[in-house]
Amino acid sequence: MKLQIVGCSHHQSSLEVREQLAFSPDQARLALGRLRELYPRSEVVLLSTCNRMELYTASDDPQLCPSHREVVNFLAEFHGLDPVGIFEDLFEHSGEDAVRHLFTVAASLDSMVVGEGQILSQVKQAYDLAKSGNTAGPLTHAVFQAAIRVAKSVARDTAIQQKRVSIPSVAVADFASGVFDSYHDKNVLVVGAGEMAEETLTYLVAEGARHIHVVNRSFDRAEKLAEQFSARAAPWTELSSLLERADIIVSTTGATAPVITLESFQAIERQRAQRNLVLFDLAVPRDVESAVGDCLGVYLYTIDDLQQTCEANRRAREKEWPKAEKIIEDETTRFMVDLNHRATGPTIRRLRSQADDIKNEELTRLLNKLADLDDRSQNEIRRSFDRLVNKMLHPPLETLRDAAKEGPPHGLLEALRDLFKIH
Amino acid sequence: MCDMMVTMIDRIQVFCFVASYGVALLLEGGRVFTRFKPPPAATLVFSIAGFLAQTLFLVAEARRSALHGLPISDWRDWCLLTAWILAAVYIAASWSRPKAALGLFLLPLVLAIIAVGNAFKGVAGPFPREEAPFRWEIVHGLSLSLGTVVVTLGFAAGVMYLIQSYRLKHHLSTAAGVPLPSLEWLQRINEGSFIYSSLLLLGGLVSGVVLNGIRHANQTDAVPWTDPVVWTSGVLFLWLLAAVVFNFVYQPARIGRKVAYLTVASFLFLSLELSIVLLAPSQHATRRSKTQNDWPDMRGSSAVAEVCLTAPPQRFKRAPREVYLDASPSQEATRP
Repeated sequence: MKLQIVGCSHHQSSLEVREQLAFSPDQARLALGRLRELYPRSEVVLLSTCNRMELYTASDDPQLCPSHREVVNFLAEFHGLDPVGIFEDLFEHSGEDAVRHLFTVAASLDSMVVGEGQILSQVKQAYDLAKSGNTAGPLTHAVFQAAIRVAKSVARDTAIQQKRVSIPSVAVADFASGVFDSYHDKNVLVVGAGEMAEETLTYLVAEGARHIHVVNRSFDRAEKLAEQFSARAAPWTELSSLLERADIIVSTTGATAPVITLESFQAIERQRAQRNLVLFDLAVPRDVESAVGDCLGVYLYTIDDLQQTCEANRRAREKEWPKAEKIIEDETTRFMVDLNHRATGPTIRRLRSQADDIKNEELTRLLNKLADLDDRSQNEIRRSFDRLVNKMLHPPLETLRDAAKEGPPHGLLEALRDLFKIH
Repeated sequence: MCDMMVTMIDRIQVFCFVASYGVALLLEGGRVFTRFKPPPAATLVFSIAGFLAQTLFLVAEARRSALHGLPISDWRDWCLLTAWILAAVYIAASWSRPKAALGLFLLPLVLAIIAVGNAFKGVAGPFPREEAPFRWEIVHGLSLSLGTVVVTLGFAAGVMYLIQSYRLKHHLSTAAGVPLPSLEWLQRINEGSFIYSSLLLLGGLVSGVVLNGIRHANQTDAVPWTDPVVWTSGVLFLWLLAAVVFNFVYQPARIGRKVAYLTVASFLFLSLELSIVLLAPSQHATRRSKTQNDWPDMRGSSAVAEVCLTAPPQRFKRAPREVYLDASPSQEATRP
């Protein structure tokens, strides 16, 4: 029985390498199909995200599973790369290490942002894709289902996923949600069309924000960003009137001087009637004069404020790390014991079958010789033979079971096969 | 079977539900301030247990009162009923917002009202039951009871608003420390508490005036208009009315910390009024003598089944001197 992972992640591979080895959903489907043709007796699951690409292969018979080199060659050929060039960028895990790695990945402990919940859904998608392509089998079913279970257990029993650690998620979950109960009726104003604005908008839209305006000095860029979120782009000249109506402002311009000054805010403060306003100034240098934060009903957060919360949350997550690791370690051990026990199954079945064949053969011969025996006596003899076989097989099978708890009992299995001539 | 249940219910003491609420409060505190994090459901379970015990206690009290001709109508019963309504509101609110530590703010208020109720033990209300139309007493007592609950809720929401607002203003993450509802939600509760408490107190005042009017007309013991409880209730109502009008006319007062301050101030007014009831000489609160507990057995009379919410029955049309244990000369002078 063999379970192997060959892949790369943000830990040891550059973004460039990861981009070269990444699979789109269509490519992943195609790759699984090809691997199925090349290794028909092997199970395959392909996990490809922004930060990792991992190819899981498994088989009851290790000889039928592609080797590390064969997987590397396949990946290189699929992406039109030099196998030697990518070999060093790809890691390989097998057996217990592979199981532990998958559990760690699914539980988001191996993610760039530890504790982010997206990876679990990506693991599920990869597994579903393998199932739909008939490339998953008993071993991958068992390990992926266990990984999903472990990830849920880590999320439930530790606080590792409860604290946000990215600036946009902290802005929305830790601060905006403290002010507003819902976002569907709030006016969101995005000043600037930078990457940070886009990320923050992703979270706000996910929370239900609908009325979004994007203002940028370059109207084209504003329109482009607005289009992504079904928002409305507005010319720079409307900034003041939009400020007046806004409940949440995300400012991320590259301006060298403040865009929202105390003076400009005071000009519209009366019309706002001290309504609550959450202002995220994510620009460096700052877009909003700090004095605006002193106005009534204004909650102003700069990138430094959010960064501090991110750090505090990250530290809180780190405290939960040992607890999460223990869950993964315990589950890995449990899974391996089950797996090793399963690995002994075919040998045990063949041993039992062989013993039954001998028993039946001898029993038939004996009963033929003692043809005048009544039914009761015949049954007694059958039961006696059954007990004899069971008692003979019990000690070696018990030893095999115990050995499976310590690791794959290859030696014992080999010995059993040799001793009893099981083929 | 039925007798057994009655005996069981009769054994429920104030301690039972106070202990349940106390444990719920400790669990809520543990959830927020310690590393041992009991699930919010545990707090809810103890709160519901306390609420059920209190419900059964009130039922038993009503039954006992009816048997002895004493309705559940003295100040202690009134406080227990108010605490019971507040506990029900707390349970409903925590059911809808399990993550927020509402118990940390509402359970102490429930316990405080029960404690005040205990301090009021044996203090009777102002209206003899035989002399006033029963329905007006219900309106009077229930309006004031609900008004008190709403003002108390507004106070809790106001305090939570001020804490949450302070944290947000000082860039402290809401994910750390005491989990509180959003400012928007708290503001809605504050606004609502103003409007509804004003309406309820208005109902309480008007029904009180009607009751007193009836007593004047019947030439029986009426509560004097100079009674401290009467005029402080009037002041509290005027305060709430002024706040509602102010909120209506000046939009910024409806939002932000101003409304939170106003709800906190309203609660302070209410506390002042309850203190006056407890401490100042008032015909709204008269201490019963021991002899007053020996009510004639009224079982079988039509009055037995009635449960009055505010007005305790008084045995005498004119209260004799000896029934007031702590009556001062000035207090006596105000009585007819």
